[in-house]
Amino acid sequence: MLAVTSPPPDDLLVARARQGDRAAFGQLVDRHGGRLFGAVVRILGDAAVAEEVVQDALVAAWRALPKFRGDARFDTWLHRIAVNKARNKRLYRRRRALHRHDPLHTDADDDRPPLQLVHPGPLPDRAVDRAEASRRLQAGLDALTAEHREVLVLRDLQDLDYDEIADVLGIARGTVKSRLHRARAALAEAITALETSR
Amino acid sequence: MIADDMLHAWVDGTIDPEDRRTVEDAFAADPELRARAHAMRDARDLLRRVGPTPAPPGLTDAVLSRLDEAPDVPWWQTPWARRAEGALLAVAAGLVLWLAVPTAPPEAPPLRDTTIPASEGPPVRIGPGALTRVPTRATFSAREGAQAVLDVAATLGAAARVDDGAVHLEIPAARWPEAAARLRALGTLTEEGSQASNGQVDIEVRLEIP
Repeated sequence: MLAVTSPPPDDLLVARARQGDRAAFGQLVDRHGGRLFGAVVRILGDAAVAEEVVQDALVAAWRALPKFRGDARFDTWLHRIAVNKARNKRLYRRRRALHRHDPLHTDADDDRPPLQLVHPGPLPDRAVDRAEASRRLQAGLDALTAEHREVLVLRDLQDLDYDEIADVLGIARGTVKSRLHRARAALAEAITALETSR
Repeated sequence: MIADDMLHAWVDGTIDPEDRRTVEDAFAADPELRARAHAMRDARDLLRRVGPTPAPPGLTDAVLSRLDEAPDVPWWQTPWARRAEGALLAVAAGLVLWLAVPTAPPEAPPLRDTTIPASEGPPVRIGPGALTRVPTRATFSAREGAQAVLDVAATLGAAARVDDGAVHLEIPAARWPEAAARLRALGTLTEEGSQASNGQVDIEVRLEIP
């Protein structure tokens, strides 16, 4: 006889985690941590910083679980916390960089992390075309404003729908659409510019 | 001219057949539009093709090991604050709250000119190089969160202003413990830094409202 078991749904794990069940929360981190990291690393463009931000976000989520009312999906709620943490980190690094009067940090679009001179951490897929696509993508994303990076990553990488993105970013659905339109156009333009400059 | 919604449905591949014909007719009449739309679809495809980035190894263990971390130590219990205690009681503390939050809907009335006059305590003079001189462009993820901070300021009789996405509070040092307790009721309060200059102490904290 073959017993088929399915993984417990988020709702059940969240309910257990709210009662202090760390193993249940660990399962939630296993399930969503990677996806969250994927979003944050693309938004910030720095794997080490993204890992720190995702850890902070997940610890904050654990502490805030009693306030999670289940109005949004758990992973949407996690995205909201992680995006806010990423913004905090970006602003904090920018302020620190400004205090250092760092001459490398003079770009007009001051949203990117300071001293971001390296490509984000090693990408695990060794396929050359995927690595190349990843490099081109990050170069394009790095040329955008933070707002544009966020909405693109949430829509086209994380596959959130407009309502979920509105919830994560705290903006109206119509704003999501207009921002996505501008962001897609900006990314297309950035990638085209990168291609023609090669 | 086609609507942005229709164009994005085409980019996303979710357009219905009738609208697809409309879009393709528009493309035929406007090669520039066609080129822009294809570039947007290529950019979207690039994001999808790259796919997810795997989690760093040990993420779950790292997170679980941090669940018992004590919340951040209040600034007045730090060694720096103890050393400066006398001065802290003598001068006003400048407090800048950065709210970690996204842009309010454009149709909402702007918060940025809101001002609550101080009813007690001297205004804070910001010395050269003080943290509060840094321009901020933080934005709000929750207007009600920003308003809640302003309400706390009003309760305390502290000066407060919203300036380009950050709420700045000026609170006499002696009242900071009460203010901190009220702010903690709203979210997680973290000290980001502090700086003393010209007899003034500026405390920069961050308030995250879930």
